[in-house]
Amino acid sequence: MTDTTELVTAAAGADPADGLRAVAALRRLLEHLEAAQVRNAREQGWPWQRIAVELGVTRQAVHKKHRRS
Amino acid sequence: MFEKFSRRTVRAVHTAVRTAQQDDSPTIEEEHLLFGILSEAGPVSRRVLGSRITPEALREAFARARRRGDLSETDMAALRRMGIDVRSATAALEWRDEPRRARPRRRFGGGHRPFSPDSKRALSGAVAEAREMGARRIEDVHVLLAVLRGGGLASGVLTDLGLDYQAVRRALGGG
Repeated sequence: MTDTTELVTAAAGADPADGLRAVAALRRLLEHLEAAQVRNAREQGWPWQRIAVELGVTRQAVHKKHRRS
Repeated sequence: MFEKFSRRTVRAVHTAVRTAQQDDSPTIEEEHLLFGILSEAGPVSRRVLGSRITPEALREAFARARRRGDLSETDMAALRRMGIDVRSATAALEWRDEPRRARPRRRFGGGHRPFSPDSKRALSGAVAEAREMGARRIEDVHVLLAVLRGGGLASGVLTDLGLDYQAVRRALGGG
């Protein structure tokens, strides 16, 4: 609750430079988290189809993006 | 596009390509452009870069950021000010130690190494920076300014080391 309030306050009053940098940073972080999570799932024997369902994308999309990692 | 680049800038780009090769990086990143600029620096760029930005300091700062999922100290501070704490997520990445770069993709014939989207933006941004400052040629400092303005990982790393866009513009006397 407090966290949400703080987040909203911060987002509303923040310096745009901070806000935009934070968004760009999250986007990069997201790519790494996705790669790490997909790798983990594959190592645990998850099929591409099940990973795709959890990520909310098609099997082809997740396979194309992550098959090499 | 390269015809208006100064000789020094062209040399810096060549060095960037070689550095990417040595790093076994599949693309030429902004990071490599910075190493190129640093190693070919002339009096102006040397003065702008100051004494804190050395190849060793850059390497270390990029390595640290990479272990954290490509987040610089500057990025972490911006996230904190937005009320976003990503420390546990990045700690999980550090623990996994990202094998991504350890396994470069090798191409048959192996010659061509493309610029990453960020470094492409930096090179075309340098043209805009030079124009804005009324410069005749695109100098290495214009590439540096474009990297800083780009807001990517490299700009955050430079900010960690005490360099930002306004500081460079001031040092160049361009306000």
